[in-house]
Parts: sequence; C-alpha cells; structure tokens
Amino acid sequence: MTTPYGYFQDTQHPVAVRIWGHRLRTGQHWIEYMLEFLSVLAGFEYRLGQGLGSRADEPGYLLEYKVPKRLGLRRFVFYDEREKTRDSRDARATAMLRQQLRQLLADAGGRTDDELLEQARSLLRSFSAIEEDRSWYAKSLFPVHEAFLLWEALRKGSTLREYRRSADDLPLAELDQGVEFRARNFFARGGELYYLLISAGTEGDPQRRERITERLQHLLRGNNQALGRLAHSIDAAWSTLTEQDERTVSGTLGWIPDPACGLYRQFAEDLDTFLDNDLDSLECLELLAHLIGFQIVSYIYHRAHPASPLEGHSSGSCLHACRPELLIDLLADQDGGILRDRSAGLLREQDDRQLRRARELVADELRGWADEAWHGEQLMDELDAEVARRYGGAKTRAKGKHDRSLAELRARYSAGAADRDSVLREYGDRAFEALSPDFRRNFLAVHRKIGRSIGLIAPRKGPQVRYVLGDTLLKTLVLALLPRGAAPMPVGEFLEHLHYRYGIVIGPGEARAAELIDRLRINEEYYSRNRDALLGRMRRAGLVTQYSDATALVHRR
Amino acid sequence: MAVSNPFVDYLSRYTTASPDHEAAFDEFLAQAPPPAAGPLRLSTRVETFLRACFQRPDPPSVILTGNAGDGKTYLCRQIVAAFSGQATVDWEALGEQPIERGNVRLHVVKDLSELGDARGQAVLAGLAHSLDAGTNDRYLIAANEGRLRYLLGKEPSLAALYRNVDEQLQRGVDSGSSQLVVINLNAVTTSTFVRDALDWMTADEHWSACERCPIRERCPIRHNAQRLGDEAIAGRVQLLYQLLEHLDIHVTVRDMLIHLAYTLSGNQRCAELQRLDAKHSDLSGVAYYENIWGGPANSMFRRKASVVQHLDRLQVGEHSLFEIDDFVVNGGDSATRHEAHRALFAPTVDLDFRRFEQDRRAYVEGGAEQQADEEAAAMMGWLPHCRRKLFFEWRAPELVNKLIPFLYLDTYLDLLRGDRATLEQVRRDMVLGLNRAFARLYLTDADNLYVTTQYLHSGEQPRPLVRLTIPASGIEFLVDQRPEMAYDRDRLELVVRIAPPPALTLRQNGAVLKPERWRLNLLTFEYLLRLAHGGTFTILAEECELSVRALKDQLLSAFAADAPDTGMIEFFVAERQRYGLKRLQIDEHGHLRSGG
Repeated sequence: MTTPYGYFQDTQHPVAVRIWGHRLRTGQHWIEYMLEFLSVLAGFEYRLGQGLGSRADEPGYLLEYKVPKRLGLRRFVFYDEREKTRDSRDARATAMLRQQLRQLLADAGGRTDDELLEQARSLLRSFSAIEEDRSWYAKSLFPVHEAFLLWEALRKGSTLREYRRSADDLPLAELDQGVEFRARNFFARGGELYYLLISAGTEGDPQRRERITERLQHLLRGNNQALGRLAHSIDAAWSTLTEQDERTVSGTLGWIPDPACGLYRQFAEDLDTFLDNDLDSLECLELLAHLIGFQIVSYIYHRAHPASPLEGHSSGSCLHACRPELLIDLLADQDGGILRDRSAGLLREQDDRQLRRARELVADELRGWADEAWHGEQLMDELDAEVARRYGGAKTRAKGKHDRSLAELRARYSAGAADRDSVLREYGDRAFEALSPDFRRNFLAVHRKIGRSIGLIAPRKGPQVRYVLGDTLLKTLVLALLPRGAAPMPVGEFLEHLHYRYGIVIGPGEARAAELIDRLRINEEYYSRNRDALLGRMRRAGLVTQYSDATALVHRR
Repeated sequence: MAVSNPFVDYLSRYTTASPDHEAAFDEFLAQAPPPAAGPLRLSTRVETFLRACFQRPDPPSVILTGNAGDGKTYLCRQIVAAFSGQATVDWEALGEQPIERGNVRLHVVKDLSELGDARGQAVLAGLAHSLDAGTNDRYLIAANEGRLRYLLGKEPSLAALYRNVDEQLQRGVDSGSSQLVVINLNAVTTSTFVRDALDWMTADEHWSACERCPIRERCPIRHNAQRLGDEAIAGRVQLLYQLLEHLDIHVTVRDMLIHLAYTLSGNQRCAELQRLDAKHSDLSGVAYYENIWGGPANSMFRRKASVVQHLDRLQVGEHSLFEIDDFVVNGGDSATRHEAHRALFAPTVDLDFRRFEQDRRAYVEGGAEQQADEEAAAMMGWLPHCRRKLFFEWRAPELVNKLIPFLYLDTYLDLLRGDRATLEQVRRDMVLGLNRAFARLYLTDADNLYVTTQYLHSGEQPRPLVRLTIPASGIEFLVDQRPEMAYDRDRLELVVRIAPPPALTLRQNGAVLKPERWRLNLLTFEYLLRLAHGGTFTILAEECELSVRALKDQLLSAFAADAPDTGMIEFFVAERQRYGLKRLQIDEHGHLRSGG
C-alpha cells in the first residue's frame, strides 16, 4: 500500500478502511457528507491540503481543524417539548438561553417577546437538514450560512439512563458537561474523506485550490448574512452567559490511500467546474450535496473494481481500467422491465465486487506476512496474532464457530494433512468470514444509502433496485461537466463524457464501449430507446435544446 | 363515361406523403402538369426581401435557417435564378464553384448538413473571412439551426460569427449588420398564408370540371371546397394555425399545404367517391371539419402529419359543452336560434343528408323505451361530429371557442387586441399566479411579486425566504409586435415587463436600470391563471415550470445579485387561514426586532 495521505496512525483498521480509507460508514446521512466537509473546510480556515501528518512542521500549517460547538444555537433550535431524549440540564439551559435572548430584542414594546423568538426559532428550524427523528444533539441545519454549521454532538449515556438529578443548582457552565463531540456516529469522517480526496486531487494545482476554496467561502459567507447574524448572535448569547473559554472542538483527519490516483484530480476538476455557477445559494448547496454523494459512490466503485491494482493507483491508467458499468434505467418499465432487470444485476454486482475486493485484500495480506516470516509450527499462531493486530479481533457471536473451524484447520496442518498454500487459503477464507459481518453492516450499504438519496438508485424501498438518474442529479452532472461560457455540447459528446468519467452507460455507443452489448445480451434497440428517454427528460428539464434536424445540444441553463 | 376532376388528382400529390417529399417539395409538385388556375404561388415577404437584396450591386451574405419544409431550397433556387439570370439550377456545379456577376462572387450552399464537418466549417470560415476582410465573396447558405450552432460552436476562431448569428436568430434581422443577413424561417408565421392557400385551392377554375359529374350535388369534396371558400370558415381555419403559433409551435409551409390539401380532399379520389355514392355509403366522415383533425382514428395521415398531432391534443369536439350540445339536439330556444339551426343543419352530404335530422327527431320526440338506447346511441355518435361542424360554421365565437380546452384563451386574445377592461384584473391574477408558482404555496397576496427560495428537503414545513419584492404596480403587460421587414410575422406576442424594485433604483444613484421582459405564450398564461384561480400545481407543470423558473433566475440575477446586507429576513409562514409574510430585522449588534 502506498503512503496514506492524511493523518495516519497505525492502529487497528477494519478491512473496509484498508481499501477505502478512514473512513466511510453506513450511519452517515447523505447530506452529512457535505455538512462535515464544509465544517472541516471552515475549520481549516478555508484552506485545502491541511491536516496532513507529514507536513506538521511547515510554518503556518494547520494540523487540526477547529469547529465551533454551537450548543447554544443547537439547543435553541432543536430542544423542545417533543424532544425524545430529555435531560434536565438541557431543559434548564434552553430556558436560561431564552431568557437571555429576550435582551436581544431592541424594543420590548408591541408584540410579545416570546412570539418573536418563536418566529425566529421556527424559521431556523425550517432549515433542519435531516428528516429522521433524532435527538436534538444529532440534528443539523442546512448551511445557508457558515454560522449554521453544527458539528455532531452526543450527550453521553443519555439514551441509556436518564439524568435524574435536578439541574437547578448547577453552575451554567456545567450544563454543557457530558456533551461529547468525538462520537463520530453520524459525522463518521466521510466529510473528512472528501476533504482529503479534493486536497489530493489539487496537489500541485494551487490555482484550482484557490478557486474552489474561494467559491465555497463565498457560498457560506457571502449570502444570507442576516440569517447568519441571527444564528451567530443566538449562539453568542449562550457563550456570554456561560462565560466559556473553550468554544471550539479540534479534530484531526482520517486518511486515504493512493493520493496520486487520477480519479481525485477528476473529482477536483468537476467540483471546480460545478462551483462556477450563478445559482441561488440554496439551490447550489443542494446540488453540491448531490455532487459530493455521487463522487463518493464513484470512489467506492473505482476502488472495488477487480482490475484495481493491488500495488496502488498511481498511474493514470486506473481511470480507464477501473471504470464501473452503471447502466441507467430510464425506460421505467416501458420496455417490460428488461433494462431494469439488467441494471439491477449490475448494482448487485457492485456489492459482490466490494466483498470480493475485501476478501482478496485479506488473502493477499496474509500471504504477504506468511511469506515474509513464518514457517512450520508457528504459522497458525502468527497468523492469529497478526489478524488480531491488524483488523481487530472478530467480536461476533459466531466466534465459537470460528474458533472451532480454526482449531480444526490447525489440527490438519499439524498432522501434515494440508499443505501450506491451502492452509493459507482456507485461513484467509475463515478470517474473512469472521470479519465480513462487520464489513456488511458498516460499509457495504454505504453506496446504496447515498445512491438512493441522491437519485442514482431507485426505488427507496421495494424490489428490483437499480440505477436511475434523478432530475437533480442530472442537472448537477451537467453543471459539473460543462464549463460556464463554453459552447453548447452535442448530446452524443455529453454521454461520452459521462461514460468516460463515471462509467455511466445510457445509449448504444457507451454500451459498446463498456462491452455490455455482449455481456448483457439485450438488443441494441433498448439502449437507443433509453437514450431517447434521457433526451426527453433533459429537454423537459431545460438542459437540452433539440433542433428540427435532430441535433440536440446540451447547455447549462 | 366516368368523370373525374384533375385537380383532385393534383391534390393527392400533396397528401400522399412519402420520403420523396422531404426534400424539394415544390420540385416534386412541378413534375406534374399544373392545374387549371396555375400552380400555387404564395407571395411571401421573405422572397421579396431576398430578391431585393440580391438585385443590389452590393448584396449581403445570407444564411437561411429553418425546418425541412420551410422553403430554404425553394428560396435558394429563386435567388440563384434571379442572380444568374438562368431558369434552371445545377446544384452540382454550384457546389464546386461560385456564380459570378460583375465583381461579386456568390457561393451557394443549398444544405450545410449535406457537407461533412470539415467542409462545413471551411465554408463558415470562408464566410467569416469575407466579413472581416471585406472581400467580394458573398455566401448564400441554407442550414438547420442545430447544425449551424454545432459547427460554429466547435471552432473558437468562429466565435465572432457565432455571436452575430446568435444575435440575429434571437432578436431578428435588424439587430445584425448589413453585410450578413440571418433569417430564421421558423419565425415566419405560417398562418399568414392560410387564406391565400385556401383561396387557391377553392378557386372556381379548379372545380369547373365537376359540372358534368353525376354526383355533383352529393360529392363531399365539392362540398368541402364550397365551404372552405367561405371567408368566415377560412378564418376559423386560420385561427387554428394562429393558436398553434401562440403555443410556440411552428408549422412549415409544406406541412401546411399538405394539411390543407388533406382537409379538402381527405385523400379521396373521384372514382372511389362515385362508387361509394352508388352504394349509398355514409360519406359524412369526409367532411372538412373531420379531415382537419386527421380523419379517421387509424388513418396513416394522422400519424405522419405533425400539424394533426398538435391539433389532436386539443381534442376539439370530444367534450360536452351544455350550450352547444343543447343547441345541436334541441335547436335552441329562440326564433333566431331556430333559424340558425335550420340553416346550419340543412340536409347536406356532411350530415348524410336526412339521416342526422331523422336521428335527432327520433331522439328528441321520444319513442318506446325499448328503442331509446339505440336512438340515444345514434344521437351521441353525432354529437362530436356536430360540435366540430359548429366550431367552424356557427358564427358565435364566444360559444364555440369554448370547445378549445384553454379556459383563458379568450382572455389572452382580448389582451392581445389591447382590451384595457380586463387588463387590471388579469394583471393581479398574473402576479398571484407567479407568487404561487415561485413559492409553491397558495399565497393570497397580489399586491407584490415575491421571488422566493427555499430548502426543499427540510424535515419541517419549509418557510420560503423572500429574496426580492417587486410591487405589482411595476409590472405591466405589453403587446409586442416585432415588425419584421424581412419576413412575414403576423404574430402578436404578450410580454410581461417588470420594473426594478424602487429600493434598487435608489441605490443605483441615478444609473438607469432596464426593466426585465418576459415573453408569455398561451400555455404559460393558462398555467399561471389557473394557479391564480385555485388550480393545482400539477396542471401544465411539466410544460411550464421551466419557463417560470427561467423568469425567477432572470429576476434574481438582474435585481438581486448585489443585494446589500440590510439585516432583514422576510419569509412566509402558515397562519390559521392564510400564509402571512413575516419580517425579522437583525442589526449589526445582533439585536432582533420584528421588521416594519
């Protein structure tokens, strides 16, 4: 494995992390990737390329990012009578804050203060970013302004035991005690990973870095300033009240393998092109969340590809060799579900690829260690120790079964009934089986979860899950592929680009290039109709103008 | 001996649409002997304009764009003939070298799409060079707009030419230079030629051959010709074409001719009709007012002709309207109405002579219950047919226009005619409709236009933020008739003009801000008015949402781009019975107030 890029500490890492970096996890909601990314970026003062362990000694370099706690704002917006994890400390804190906030009102005449506060509160709350029903500390706001960025918090033990003591006597500063910011269940480092991807993709291209960070900074600070001031002053009220010194939390990044992979540069280019738009800020952020989600899914597929070189992606050849095949079904059963069926198959195959990749990694590493060091009797013991050290022990209920099968293997080896190679192979299989529940639970569903939310995978619930392209995602991709001010692009060229960069297959040309015609064994006509369906969608969405001679040009507006 | 009218055969050349027709329609027609009144010659302004251009000693270069059937090749031929003085045109030779006259060299490209990418770009490069360097080369190029844009867009060195072409395509010929004229035949209103075409088709000379025909008084085609020769009915046909233009649908001249020919003849021939008449067949289905929608449900013509596909969507006559059905069935409730009914429903071939009256009587005057169903069915079968007949023949437009499923068509047409009476009310409706379309809430305020934005994935009910407020007094309707010298364009367009909000004008310290203009076609007008009157967001949303979003983006970038930070937050909140506008004001010190 090549040198990891980021803040690497050689501790135990699950298999998924060794392939895809630290880390992506199922628990993270699709919009939290963007929220975490923006928080980290703001925490690094809008500079990319910070946080790398190897550069800590450079002058002016930031090794840690600092994110504001903003508990005051968070409680004010989210903690109310309907809150599911009640805590008397939070109740008191909210009440105190509301009292303090009444002093913010310039004149107390006319309308009652409470109503005004309530209006402000419901306005802020209408930007709640996550639809699920979570506790107040795990909810987030859509970042209409930088002051809205909330980092994931957790009140330790709140779901297990209720805080029974009265909070009335506690000093105010202690009300925030017990709220932790490093749980990383929801902000599970996916945003950090994206930060690293873009940083790696802009190494050696300082102008692109400059453009990206400048635009993101403008997006967060240059719009909706009144709302930002509102959020800021609410939080400031709490800080003054509790006289806190420590208002920020600092954190370090995770890491990614193969920083020289060509895919990251491509991501950075697309992000750069996308950000050069004049959309309304709310819409721009929404599309940005879609783009980030899509690029992360792309990243997963890229590294899961069977042709993914084991020694690492460092030449540009991986862009071509590791391109996935994402057959998009746009016909919606008009064709009797044939395309849907094939597309569903390719989606399932992506799951298989990830599993296979993980399995290969385990087998490969085991072989590597065994070749280096051990022979004879020690083999089994050393393997056990190494696995425990690298991957963490397999804490599963099936441990008993796992131990038994290992014991049986050991016996066979000692008896000389099995040769070294087959033992290694079998050991690898068993080890992977022990590790795979964790893999399946925490990693395998990431691409589906993100895909469903951004409109890449449908339906949300139900059978025959396959690849589609929602209108929002379509618009996002057009903005990411077509530079502003460029001449309109013919549709054929646009589809080629989609395939070349992301492996998206819609029409017969791309199907041929991806060698799917023979593999899937369906008539080319289906792909043609698929392409026509895309054209119709894009025309209705205003992304394509179709002229009478069947020339269709894609444009940005 | 069988009698047949050669003009009917001539018409069938129009209606038997085949791939031969796609190119050089008029050449195909010219291969047949001309009919009695001479071949059809539509005098078009564009032809006059181009001839005048090329008679000058220093003609411009010309680019013609348009769909297949708009007349690009025809015009090229006329110009070349006038320029070179020769009647026949050899396209092959022209492709190789230009025509010379005096010191002007004219390069002619009859179809840019026929040339490959490289040659096409070479031609355009030549044109660009001739414009820059002021040489004696002139170009006459016919192209499809898509291909033209594609070729110009690919090559950065042609950027200036692209801009010139784009300007003229969007704003008309006058916005361009005098050296290069770009005419978009898509902008020509085909409805202008409907009357002339019908006049020619129904000219007496073409129908004199019918005198000796045994079924003269019973022939559906001759009946059609007589009716379509009537001024009022021809005007109704023209209305349908104008309606399509209001929906931004362009019909090419070729398609119009084919459609009108089919309307007249139904693709029938004299011998066949004589045979059917001898068998006493029902020929009411060949009526012009059935043909015009494409004829029988499964006719091939219906599938091929684009005009018919558009008209078909209007479904005229399919839905019941009480006043009309009542009139058809009962004959009306006043003496004048009775008289009108008698005149309209006299026994003619399109009503299968007496059969309609018989069926009607049978239905109205009762009968034994046993037969009631049959009579009702027969009458019901006649109703769509009669509704369509009345659409053309009953001189009561305020009633029959309701057969077109646009609720606000008459309002739209009134506005175009400059009727001030409805203007104020419609303006308020427009503002209300736009407010609802932007915010996706049933707002009730029509005094101001609110351009809003919101976060769509919120777990809570969204509160649209107001980005821009424009008082309704700054919004007005204009009827725009872009007078075009270069081609026929008889279309009035409705434009909404939106003035910049007063606060913005103050800030600019006297710099003049242009109001924004937004073109409104019939479909979008209908969408907004329906919204204003309580319709749901889904009706016509697919077709119109885009245009409304484009307006939103246009207003935001024109008026809200550099909005200073006033500390004011405006948003809509659901109150008990309506949506209210709330304002919060926050100053630099972080003090919060409710805004004034």
